[in-house]
Amino acid sequence: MAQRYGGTYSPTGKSADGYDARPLKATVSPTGARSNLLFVPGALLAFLSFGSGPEALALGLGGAATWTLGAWLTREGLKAEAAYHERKVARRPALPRKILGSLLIGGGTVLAGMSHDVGLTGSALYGVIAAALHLTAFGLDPLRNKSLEGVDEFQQDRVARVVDEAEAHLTAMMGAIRRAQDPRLEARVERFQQSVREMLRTVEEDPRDLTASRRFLGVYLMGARDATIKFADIYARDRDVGAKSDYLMLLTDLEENYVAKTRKLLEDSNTDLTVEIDVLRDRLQREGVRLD
Amino acid sequence: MIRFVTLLLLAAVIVAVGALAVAVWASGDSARSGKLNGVQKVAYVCLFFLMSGIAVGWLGAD
Repeated sequence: MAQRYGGTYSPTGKSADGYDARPLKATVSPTGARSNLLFVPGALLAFLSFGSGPEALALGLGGAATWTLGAWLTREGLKAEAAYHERKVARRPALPRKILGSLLIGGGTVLAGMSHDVGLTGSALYGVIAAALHLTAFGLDPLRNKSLEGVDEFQQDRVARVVDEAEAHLTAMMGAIRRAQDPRLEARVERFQQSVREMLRTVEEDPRDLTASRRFLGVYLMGARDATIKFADIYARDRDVGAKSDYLMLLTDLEENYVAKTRKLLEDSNTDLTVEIDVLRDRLQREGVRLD
Repeated sequence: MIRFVTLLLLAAVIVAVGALAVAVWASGDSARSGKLNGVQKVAYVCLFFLMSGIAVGWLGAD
């Protein structure tokens, strides 16, 4: 019979302080090797610019810096795009990072070409080709706000703001728990975040749930973040087992509440649907339409 | 010389417009999976070799 993978030292492995059998949703990094590899030519250019005279050095270093900035913006743009696609309601990225990345890669190519005496025309052509290839390889940034059909735009904006704040708390929480340097705790926090994100998706689908879940997405989450920061500091200092146990219990309590609240929100949505169906059936019956 | 520059600029404009068209096409539903399609993979490989070639000095004026 198949068994779940996980030894004593794996992040989701069995341990003396309990074993959580629920599956952890796998997340794939939106950046990957493709954007990280773009940093390589910049490093090569900076290294090889030395020894070719002051003008070539200045142009080479300028080109390398521009390429590095372009690669970094591309990576941030891929992250922003993944976050945009993950949500049902989202605002377009404030800064079109991938498009700016294309322009910087093109500009860096012009400088790099000139540092190797290619000439302005040839370098400009290489620059346009590089920018075009970058645009083709990575695409454009999302340029429109994403919203649900038939839902008030003002409400969706409110939801998007609350979701942004909640995501910021979750990011801070993950950053803090990494300081504790315990993979099992990171996996536990990730699982808690999964239940919070389920609530976020539920609220995005039906902004009317925002009022009912506001405390969960604001005050409680802020409290969880602050507790995580304090715990991470204590645990990183002296590996206090008692503090770890208290923190894990807090996470379990919080998670149970988030799951229960999300279930309640979904049940309310089902009740709304039932009411709408009943109203429609009544009206159709009054009109003399038979429903079998 | 002027004719040469004009031809280069024309080629640059055609390449840029083509890339923009492919980028718009590629930023649709297929982009949500986070995977590159065939055209994007070829463009990425070409970009990487172009940048590396210029950085090392393999791509010259001739």
